[in-house]
Formats: sequence, structure tokens, C-alpha cells
Amino acid sequence: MNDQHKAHASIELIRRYARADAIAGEVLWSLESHLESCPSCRARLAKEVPGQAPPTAALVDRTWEALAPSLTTGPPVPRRGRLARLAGWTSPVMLPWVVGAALVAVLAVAVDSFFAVPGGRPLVLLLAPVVPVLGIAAVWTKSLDPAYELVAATPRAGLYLLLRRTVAVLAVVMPVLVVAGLTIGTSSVVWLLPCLACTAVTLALGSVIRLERAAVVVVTLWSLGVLAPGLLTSQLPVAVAPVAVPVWGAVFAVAAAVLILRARSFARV
Amino acid sequence: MPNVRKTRGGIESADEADLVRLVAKGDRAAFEELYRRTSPWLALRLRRRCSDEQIVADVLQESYLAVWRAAGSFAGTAVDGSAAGWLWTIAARRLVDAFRRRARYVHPPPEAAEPVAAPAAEDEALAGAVSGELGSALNTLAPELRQVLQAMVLDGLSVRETSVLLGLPEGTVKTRARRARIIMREALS
Repeated sequence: MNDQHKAHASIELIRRYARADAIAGEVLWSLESHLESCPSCRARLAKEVPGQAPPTAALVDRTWEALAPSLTTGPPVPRRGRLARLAGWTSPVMLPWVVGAALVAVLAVAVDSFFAVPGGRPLVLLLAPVVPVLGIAAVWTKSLDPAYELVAATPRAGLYLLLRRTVAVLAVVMPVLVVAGLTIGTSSVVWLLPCLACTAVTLALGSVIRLERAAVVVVTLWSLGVLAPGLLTSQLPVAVAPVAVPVWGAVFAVAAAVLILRARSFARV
Repeated sequence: MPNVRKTRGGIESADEADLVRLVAKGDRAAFEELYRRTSPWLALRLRRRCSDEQIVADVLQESYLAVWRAAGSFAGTAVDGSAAGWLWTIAARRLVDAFRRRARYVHPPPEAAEPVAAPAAEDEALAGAVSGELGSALNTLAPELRQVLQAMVLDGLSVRETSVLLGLPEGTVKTRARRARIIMREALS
């Protein structure tokens, strides 16, 4: 049949294909490559299947029955929202503490600009190095985080997560401190290195004693050694003078080394 | 015939590539239409390569599930590629995977070359329609060589996949493919 449509398969051949009858190799080859490219021959084949190959027709129907329930679940996979991504960096309980730490810096600027003492010791300079420590104390404190055990049990727990949270705290606090430093016109290096050093010392100490205790120790030492003398006497404590910058650099390096060596201690509950 | 572009409510007149693009947007009716049109062909083509009805059913189901989930990758990459060819590529890969899984339990015996009836005159016409020389060249091939060539050229499988599908060592597949190519080249020159 269909001599004018030589390119299409004969209905007899299509029926034999549907019945899974033996077909000569080169004809089978041509037929299969033709079926792949010809929608109308595929349609004719589909029409022949129920009559010529009832088992295949049943198989096709059965497969659809099995397939249908999976289709309702739908293809779209929910994408991670911005809020979910943020949760990898912070925990909700951190927020008040980080805001509190930032407020300390803001208040220090306010005090400095309203009660400026001629000749020196700006309060921002005295407070800046310990402000991030307040925030960091909050990021890994068991009593503050109701989900502490859950967090500690996640695969990412440990130093990695702690550093992420530290970065999150610094990202909030640092800009405030920089702006504060600029408004009172002091060099950022003078307080930036002590600030990083205090942060690193807190984390390193936190690997030995608990982090919140380490924060208390560092803040206390700073208050006694730098803040109190700075407020009580009239001269700038040597700790925040430009001379001390290399010392703070060394402290930061040592603390970072200790932190790396004791990295595993943060993975425990 | 079915090359009319899809209009509202005209899924019947859309071609397969359009249907796949609609499926990519989560259109269930388009998926149903695609299944209705292509599944008998795909099932028959799989049955020609695998006598186990259960495996064919599993492969068919897995393939269409992959189509439902990955239709976007077709709509994205192939601008005017053949949707049926894409479907077959998915199904062939799934069939090879199924053979691989089954091979852990029993190694399937290589399909014996079936006794082949002489082609009817009108079938010769179809063979001639693709390429007269190619058709007769294929005819001169021994069945086991043609089997390998069919898996690699017509079904688009790799050497490794062909060896899994036919239950032959990879080395044998390579040798047979080389021999088949030499014979084809001689027959076509």
C-alpha cells in the first residue's frame, strides 16, 4: 500500500512490529529510525497496539497507573529562602546580644561627643576592643540557645560554625565601630588589632574553659587593665596607644594558632 | 500533520517538543498527552531489547518519571531537537541501568540471534527509503555484528552500555563494532 508515501512504514510492518514478530535486520533498523522521527507512524503504531499486542497495551496502562501518584508531588523543589540562608550564619537568640553590643558602641560615641574631655581618652577607643566579645559570648552559650544540643550535633558544628557566627557578629559590630571611630577621628588600626586580638583570645580560651566564661574573663581583664585606668587617670592607656599595635598583632597570631590546634574541642556538647 | 503550534486548549495539535516544554512548566495534561502518544512506541521498542516484561514496565515508569522531573532540561538545551529521540535516550540509559542492577543477581544470557524471515517486498521499500545502500549493507552483516552496531548507532549507547545491554564483554563489543564498521565501509564504497 501507500506507494506514493514510500517513506512511511506499511501498516502490515507496523502490525508485525507491534506483535514483536521477527523482522529482517535492515528493515527493523529502518523502521525503528523512521519511527523515532515520524510522529504520524508513531501514532499509527499506538493505534495498532491494543489490537495487535494486548500485553503491551496492558503494560502501558499499568505503568500509567503506577506513574500517576508520583505526578501529584510535582516537579518544583522549594528553593532555600534568604531567611534560611541567614540561619547558616546566625541563630535567632544572637540578635538581642549583637544589637546590645552595637548599642554599646553607639552609646560610647554619644558619650564621647557630648561629654568630650579635652586631651583625650575617647570612650570608643576604650570599649571598642571588647564590644565584639559581648556578641561572641552569645553565639556559643548553652544557656542562651535553646537549640544548643541540636546545633552541636549538626555535621557543621564545631569551629566552622563558631567562626561563621563570629563573622556574623563582626559583620554587624565592625561597621558600627568603624563609623564610631571615624566620628571621633582616631586611627582605626589602634583599636582594630586589639579588637581582633580580644576576639581571638576569647575563642582560644573558650576552647579550654567554656566560651561564655572565656568572654567574662577577657572582658574583666580588659576592664581592670585598660578601661578602669583609662577612666580614672587622665592619660591614654598604653594598650590602645599606637606603640601596642605590634604586641596585639602577636597576641592575635598566638591566639589564632591555639584556636586551630584546639579546633576539635568545639564539636563537643 | 501535528506541527501546528499549541494554542489554548489545543494540546492534541501540539507536537511532542511543545508537549515536553509544557511538561517542563508542570502541565499535567500535556504529560498525559505525551504519554498517550509515545508510550506504546517506547514500550515496544524496549520489548525488542528486553524480553522481561517486568523490567520493561519498570524502565518505562522510571523514564517517564524522569521526563516529568527533567523536562526542563530538554526545553532548555534542545531548541529543535527531536523530543522522541530525547525520550529514547532516557529510556535506553534506564534500560542499561536495569540490566546492570539485574546482572548482580543473574547474568542474562546473550540474546540468541532470532531466525529472521525474509523481508517482504514492501518492507524493502521502507529500508530503501532510509538508504538503499545502507539497507543492503546492513543485510550483509552477521546478526551478532548488526546487534552491536544497532545498540551503538541506532540506540546511541556507549561501548560499556552496549556490553551491559547485550551481556557481552566490552572487548567483544569493541571488536564486533570494528568488524561491523569495516564490512559496512566496504559495502558502501
